[in-house]
Amino acid sequence: MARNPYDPMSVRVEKVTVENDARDLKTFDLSFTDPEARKAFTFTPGQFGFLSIMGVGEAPFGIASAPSEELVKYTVKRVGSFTTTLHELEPGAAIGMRGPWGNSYPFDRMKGKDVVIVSGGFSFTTLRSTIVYLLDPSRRSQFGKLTVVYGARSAGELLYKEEIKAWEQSPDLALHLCVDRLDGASWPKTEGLVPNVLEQVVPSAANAVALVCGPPVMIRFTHQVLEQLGFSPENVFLSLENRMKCGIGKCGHCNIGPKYVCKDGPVFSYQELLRLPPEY
Amino acid sequence: MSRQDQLRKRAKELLANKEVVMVLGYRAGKRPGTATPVFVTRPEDVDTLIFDDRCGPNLAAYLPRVKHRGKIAIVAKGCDSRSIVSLLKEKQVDRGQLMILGVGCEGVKEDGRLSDSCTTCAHPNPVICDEMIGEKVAEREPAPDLLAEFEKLSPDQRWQALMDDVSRCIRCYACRQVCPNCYCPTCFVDANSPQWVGKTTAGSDNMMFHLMRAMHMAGRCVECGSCSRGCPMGIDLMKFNRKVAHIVRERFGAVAGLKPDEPPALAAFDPNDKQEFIR
Amino acid sequence: MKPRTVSADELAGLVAGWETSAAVYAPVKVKDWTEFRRVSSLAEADLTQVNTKLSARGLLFPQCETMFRFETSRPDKAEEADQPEAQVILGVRPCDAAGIAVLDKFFAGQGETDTFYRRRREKTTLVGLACSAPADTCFCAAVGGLPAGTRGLDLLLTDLGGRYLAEPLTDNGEAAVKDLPEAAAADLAKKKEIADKAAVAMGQRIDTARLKQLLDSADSHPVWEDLSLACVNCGACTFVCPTCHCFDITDETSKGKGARLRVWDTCQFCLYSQHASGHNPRKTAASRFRNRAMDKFKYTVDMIGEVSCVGCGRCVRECPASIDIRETVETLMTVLPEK
Repeated sequence: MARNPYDPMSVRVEKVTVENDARDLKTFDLSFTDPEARKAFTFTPGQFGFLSIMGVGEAPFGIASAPSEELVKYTVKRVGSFTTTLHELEPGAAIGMRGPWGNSYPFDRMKGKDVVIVSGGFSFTTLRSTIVYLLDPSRRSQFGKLTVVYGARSAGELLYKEEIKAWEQSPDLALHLCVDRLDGASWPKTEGLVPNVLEQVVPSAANAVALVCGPPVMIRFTHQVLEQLGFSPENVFLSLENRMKCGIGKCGHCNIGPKYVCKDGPVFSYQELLRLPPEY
Repeated sequence: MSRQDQLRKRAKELLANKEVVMVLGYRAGKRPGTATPVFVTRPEDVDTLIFDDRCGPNLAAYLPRVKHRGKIAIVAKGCDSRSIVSLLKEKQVDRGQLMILGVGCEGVKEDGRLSDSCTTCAHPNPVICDEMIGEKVAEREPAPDLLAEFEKLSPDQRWQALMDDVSRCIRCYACRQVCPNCYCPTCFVDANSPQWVGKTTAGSDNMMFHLMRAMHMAGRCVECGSCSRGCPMGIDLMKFNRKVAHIVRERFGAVAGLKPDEPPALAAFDPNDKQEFIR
Repeated sequence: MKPRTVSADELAGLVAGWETSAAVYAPVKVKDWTEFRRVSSLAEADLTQVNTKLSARGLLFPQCETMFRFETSRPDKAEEADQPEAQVILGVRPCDAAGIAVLDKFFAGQGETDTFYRRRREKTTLVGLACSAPADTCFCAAVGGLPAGTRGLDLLLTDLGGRYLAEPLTDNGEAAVKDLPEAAAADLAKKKEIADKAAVAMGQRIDTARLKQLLDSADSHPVWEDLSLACVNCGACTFVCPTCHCFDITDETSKGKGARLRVWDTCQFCLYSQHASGHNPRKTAASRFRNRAMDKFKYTVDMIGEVSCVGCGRCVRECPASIDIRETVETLMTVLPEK
């Protein structure tokens, strides 16, 4: 009998990390109560899950851990009643999870190509998953040069600081961090907006695929730069967000035209988006 | 010239002279016996305008939607004009941007029958207008007391009667959306921090919605009946609003939207307000 | 599976039989119209009105459905709510049955299966009633349906005057009528006459294939602004529609216990598409109106291969602003440019 897709699996909060000074961004590392459920939970970077607290509600979040990592990682911004309750949880708390839902970044399309990753703020979650996945020694050589441009309003708002500091030193990718305003901070090195930094550091659109995830305004300007650099719409992939309730393409909320962000997305090529109504 | 022709002629003039950017009125619906709000912006389109007993929806409800376009001419029957007064008092629309074309109303018919709210209408002629289109209509015979049967019931019986009514509500909010007074960007039923009312159609949730909406209408509802007429489940929503309006008349001597210069009954404190409920 | 005839008494007997092992729902008179209610005998049913107030979808996809029950002390654990019981829905008009067939595809025929819908559907027998005199709001034939259409049904009854023709369409339907006499040729001819006459009364066929093509490039057309002005963005049209499927999920708790429920929702509400951040992709009335019209005549074609308007006419009847989707379609087909 197929599992009821509305029925959450039981998971446990193992670790909570506060990501920023405002303390409204927290990363949760989760384990599964049932080891069989953990084994069955396979996903590809780009996909998302629903976190569920019975009595409060549910919300969708991009999976920030890579499939090879034991714990499932989500980074959550506190914006409403559900995320506020989530933020109050301590390690040991039990909650529910549904998923993985959605499609993933198009790794088959990316094989043999250079990969350009562009992200802003707390949208970096599924891209962390992607970078860990790409850097895995068992598959790194399948992809070309990896360039990442990741920015935030200030240094404090960058996620996964320890990891990205380590990546800055790694020869396996070119990581360019930037912030809108340095305000005298010594890290990161670059003050600038993501689209502007992108323009300077991206080598070429030739044989390259771009993955973009960020707030709408960043996406708009980033896309202009990518276009100028010669990226065609079918080689630029965006991960979108939308209001979701069921996560499986039934409740209707997340539709953009005939596509459901939860089921046909959240990853869409810019080519696909050009054919959809401007409602995202 | 018939009133309808007068209306079309005047609308054409106003649009051609660019005195208004839009005439908000009614046109015939595809189904016999129905009329749909129409938003005429070109002089050559005025011949779609009608005014007769099909013209049910309260047009004042559309003003917030179109007010940003410029000066609007609006066809206003008695109840609609009182809704306009209500909106003016609550600063939802500017008097200067309205050209109110008043029409006397002999009542709205649905399926050949006069709508309940029209049987008790005491103000068929507009209380405010820039020009009257056609003659005023005669004030109607003393109205039947639609609350008489309800008032005879004991509190328990009244509760049961109201529950029977609202138990069929499907929470489509047609009543709220057609009402000129319901313009809150986030209605209390949609709030979730905290959640005031449950989203289910359980009797208690439905009753909470309708009771509270009626309370929010106190002193503001002009008893146009659009909510009852709009309800797909045929619930007598006006029973709630009629009763509350009756209480406001008794306690505050006020009728919603009648006097433009009077503050809204429940928004103004008067030391002479009855206070016998304070013991 | 041969057509049978069944007298009113025999039908009453069938209902009594069904009643012993299932809940029987039928149109029941409420004020001036009918609504699907549970009946304990045929006598309680009113099969004379063309269309019930709400479609039959509420019996498969309820307005309010409890999904899970839980204790608030265990936020990670929930129990599925009670299993649905067997039901027979009598007096389903072919438009509603076609609507259920569309929902079958949508909820349980593509992507993940909606468990709650599937469970109810598996326990449901649909007994249809052909229409002999369509209302002025009916237009099933215009969108490819028929007043005596059989799609989605287990059994189709046609009132021949004094008795019914009963056409079994599935094993369930055959099982229901197996002991009834076979219909005579004259009965079949009478049924055809009734069905043909009703179909003709419904007006012109809408070229839905052409409409779909026009809509494929209509996202930014200014016509939506004009068409949507009279719409007040309530949920009346979507809640009475046989194929609308949108829902909200909400948790309710009291004294340590609670339930996760789903309730009907509608793309017509402004808050339907609003993000927690406040961003709202369909902030304008025009975009919401466009979404509904597009969904019925284009998006469902893209998603499940067919138009999802079944021509039942309820949205026409119930719209508080008397907006008529047939007029909307006419305007779209006149104004939208061919690519």
